[in-house]
Amino acid sequence: MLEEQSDLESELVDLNDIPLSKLATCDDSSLALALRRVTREMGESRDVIAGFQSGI
Amino acid sequence: MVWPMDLLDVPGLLAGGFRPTPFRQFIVKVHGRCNLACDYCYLYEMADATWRSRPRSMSRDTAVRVCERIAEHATAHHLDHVEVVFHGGEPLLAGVGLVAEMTGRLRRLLAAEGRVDFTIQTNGVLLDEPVLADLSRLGVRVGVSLDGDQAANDRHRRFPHGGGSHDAVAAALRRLSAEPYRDVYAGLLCVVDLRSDPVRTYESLLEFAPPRMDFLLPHGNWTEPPPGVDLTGATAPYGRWLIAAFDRWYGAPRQETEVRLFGEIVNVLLGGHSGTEQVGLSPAALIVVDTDGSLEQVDTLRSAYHGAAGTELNVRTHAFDAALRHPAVVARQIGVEALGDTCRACAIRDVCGGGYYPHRYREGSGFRHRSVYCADLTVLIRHIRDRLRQDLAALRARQA
Repeated sequence: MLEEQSDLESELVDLNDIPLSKLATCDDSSLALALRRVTREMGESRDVIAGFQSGI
Repeated sequence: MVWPMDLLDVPGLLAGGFRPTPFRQFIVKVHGRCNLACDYCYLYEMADATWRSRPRSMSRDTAVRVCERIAEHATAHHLDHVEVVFHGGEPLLAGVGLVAEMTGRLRRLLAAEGRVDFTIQTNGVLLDEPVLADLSRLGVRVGVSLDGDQAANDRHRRFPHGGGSHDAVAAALRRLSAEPYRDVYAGLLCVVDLRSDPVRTYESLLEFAPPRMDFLLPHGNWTEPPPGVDLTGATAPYGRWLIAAFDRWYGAPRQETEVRLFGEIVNVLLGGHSGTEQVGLSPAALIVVDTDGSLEQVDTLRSAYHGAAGTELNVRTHAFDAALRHPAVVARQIGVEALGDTCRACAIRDVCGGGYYPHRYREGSGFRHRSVYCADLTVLIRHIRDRLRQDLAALRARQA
């Protein structure tokens, strides 16, 4: 298992070729919502903290 | 020598420029006992027995001191937003009166600083109409623990007399998910059981229309492994379980609910940061206050060994700032520096973050190990990465 991990890339998914302006026309699939979230958060200056897992 | 307690050089880190992240999430244990007797509970059924020596319920005096300490911390660090999670045991056993006292007091104390949000994490058994009306009036959002359908839930989440809790919780969720209480419905927490079908589990939770949910891995570590985990890494049963649930969730044409674990992994894979301590390398900015005012790092550490969560600090005698320099708190704020050599060399370390901190423990050496769920997290993350890559390639092709 550990040997297999070595073929993973640290830059796992490349968004550079995605025209972000077109994301607004995406549907409400989990992928589309995820793209909107990461795009929105890239424009925010706040620090992201890791929240408590035993509460929701 | 145990890492981090004996080996993490906090003064050295501070001298080198490390600055602790102030606490922004305060987990307040208003009651230390439970009206259920779940067989996997990290508080009552695992390595730690601290709960036996703690008050059953937080006193009003302690609650007032907790509020003052939170306000002191928020003011000192200019925090414009903090979150308080009422937790237990079963927090509703403390009565809504204590919750009302704390919400009112904190809103007054923090009125000039910014926003304070409140959540209560409950097993749902006591969520009747009057309690829901009170929580709604107080603006306290409600998270409920439920492990799937009746068979799955009642396998573990039982009353002390042995009866299952599903019927009582389902009745509460029907009230919570409908008007006028829908606005305070925070979501559902579900502990994974390999004996339950993952898709059936996800869909049975969906029946209660949660705005979000999360799958939690059963607590365990390298010394006390979780049930069914494959320590050789060959079969990754929890990873395969989660992959089936992910595919059902991700494949829906329109997202039916948020699943926190999946959403955070996706976000990190896309270049963002994780907002949960389960995965990623974001600093943990949470602290737990027990019923006697004791400060604890994170209470799930009690699954590791007796006293593992303790800090020897108490709101009566210490500000929260004192905990910011505690080695175990610092260890969960320094990102990759907290990881062992195996994790540091791993290509997905930024995504899994070494896994949930309590799951890295090994007796004798502490927490600088990969997660006991390393193989499971690896197959899950690789699967999600591959799905994203496929779909993004298709998206590019459509837009070309």
